[in-house]
Amino acid sequence: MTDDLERRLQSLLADTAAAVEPALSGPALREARPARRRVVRVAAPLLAAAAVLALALAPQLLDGRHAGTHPQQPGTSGKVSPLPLPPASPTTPEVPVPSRSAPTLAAPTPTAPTPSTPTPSTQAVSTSGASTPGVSVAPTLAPSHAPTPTSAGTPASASVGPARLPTTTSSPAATQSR
Amino acid sequence: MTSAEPFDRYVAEHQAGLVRYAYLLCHSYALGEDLVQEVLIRLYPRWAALAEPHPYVMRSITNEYLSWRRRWSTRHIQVVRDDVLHLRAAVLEPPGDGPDPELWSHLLLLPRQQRAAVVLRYYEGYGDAEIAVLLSCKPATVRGHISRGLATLRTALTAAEGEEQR
Repeated sequence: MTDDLERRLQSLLADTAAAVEPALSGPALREARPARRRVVRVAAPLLAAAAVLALALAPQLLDGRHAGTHPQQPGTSGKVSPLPLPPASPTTPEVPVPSRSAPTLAAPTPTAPTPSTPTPSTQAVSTSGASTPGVSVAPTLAPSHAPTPTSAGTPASASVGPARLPTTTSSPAATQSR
Repeated sequence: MTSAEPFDRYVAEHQAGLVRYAYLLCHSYALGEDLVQEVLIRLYPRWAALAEPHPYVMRSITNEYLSWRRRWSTRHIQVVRDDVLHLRAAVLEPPGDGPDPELWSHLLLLPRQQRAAVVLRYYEGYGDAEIAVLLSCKPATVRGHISRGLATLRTALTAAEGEEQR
């Protein structure tokens, strides 16, 4: 009976003590350490690749930043750019608008003196332009030809043309009345 | 601070065994670690003066376990009695987890001196003289502790078997 109890005690204490694993020096900690090293092994190449990528992209990013500082005015940013900035002039905002310069370049075209040649064909063209209220090149160029009768742009001026027609063609009518 | 290297080597070699021994004494893993840690901290300043540190550490752990209840009672307010704590421990740790839960539960109910003597005899394999040194008593006292402890266990197991047969 005593021997059996002693054997039970020995096996019980041995098994119970074997189940105890100290947290700091047990096999579980030794098995967990390689897992942490694996994380480091994965993280180190990633960090190296990120560093190489950052070094490769750094010049481009710096160039992009310098290019971005050019259009800024010196007063808006607190930093002084090392590169010489173009002088700020009021004409610079008008430079990138070529559409407005087109009418100024087309200004010599109306200089063809249509009123100086009072032919009926030209007057008929002017009457058609006056009847349509749509925007055309002719009204924009009108201020340069203010003294001309077509520069009024009013429908009354259109009646000028047809009023002359009877005068020009009055000779046959007079002959008929006669 | 010159004893740092031998101390580290000893802890690396014996910490697991010390914690297992402390766990068998107090049946609490956290308390066993605390016992070992407190003893090692106390012995570290005079570690170089110890010729044979391991028996001294074992004796210190045993004495710490035996005196723990005294100091514990002065430091903490005990709201329940020991038998209630044992019942609670039996509930928290189901008997089906250990290798011999019935014997283990009866071993927990032994007095501290008897339990320490039984553990030192049947786990560490020490003789009466070694156990007497660790427990700071005579070998005859050690034999008395072990015999009374075994008698208590035998009575408890016999009573449990009689209840199962009914």
